[in-house]
Amino acid sequence: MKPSDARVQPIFNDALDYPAGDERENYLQKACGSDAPLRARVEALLRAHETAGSFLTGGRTDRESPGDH
Amino acid sequence: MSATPDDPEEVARILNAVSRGDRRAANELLPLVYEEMKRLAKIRIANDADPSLQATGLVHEAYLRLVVGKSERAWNDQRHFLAAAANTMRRIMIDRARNRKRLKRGGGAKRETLSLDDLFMDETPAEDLLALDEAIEKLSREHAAAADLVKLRVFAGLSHTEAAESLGLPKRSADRIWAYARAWLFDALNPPDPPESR
Repeated sequence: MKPSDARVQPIFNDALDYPAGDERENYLQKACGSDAPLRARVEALLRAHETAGSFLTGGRTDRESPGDH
Repeated sequence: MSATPDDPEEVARILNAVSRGDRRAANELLPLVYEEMKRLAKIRIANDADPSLQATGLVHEAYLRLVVGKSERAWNDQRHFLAAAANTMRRIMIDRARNRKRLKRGGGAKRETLSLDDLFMDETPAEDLLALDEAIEKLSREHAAAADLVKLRVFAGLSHTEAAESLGLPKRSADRIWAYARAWLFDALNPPDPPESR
């Protein structure tokens, strides 16, 4: 059964606070423990984060103010 | 008989109706916003504007021109309007994508990046937009706030900060949710192949 977003999201976000490599590994180990599906899901999303490239980037920036041409 | 952005009385009528919760009026409004958006886009392109800014926030800008420029503040609840605007713009974009798919237009295959700018300028292959829309729908069932944030950015063209404010999210929460939503959607659209251990 897929882990819920409520469980996955905080671990995903916190994992990104650690540099990729040993520190992140250690965090994931602590956060996910023996929950293999949870770990797999977090890792899949971390991979997606790393490889998403320009996906959903760009768009309106805050420097533009409405009414400017 | 549909109003044009240049008909301020008609626009005001529609806005007042929408502010009273008339959902059909909201359907009337968004094509106006869309027309305004396309007009603004043409101006931008004609003025050789920075390409990275061309497509940004045109719905929001068009909305402000229509609402702020043409009428008293008809909206008590801008947050509500922006969510409605996003939903209606989404329907417009998806309907157009379905038409494009049916007519098999867009012969010159454009490399697909699915950046927000590409999406907003309607330069996304129909299949990709429909797949994204479906993924957003799935996300909305599992993580409503994440989907709301995505919809405001993708369909209403809001900036990250504007979308966060609209949802009442503090910056740190919005940043985290956005990172999660983006990864979630990318993963949904690009499943690893073959599947990892399930």
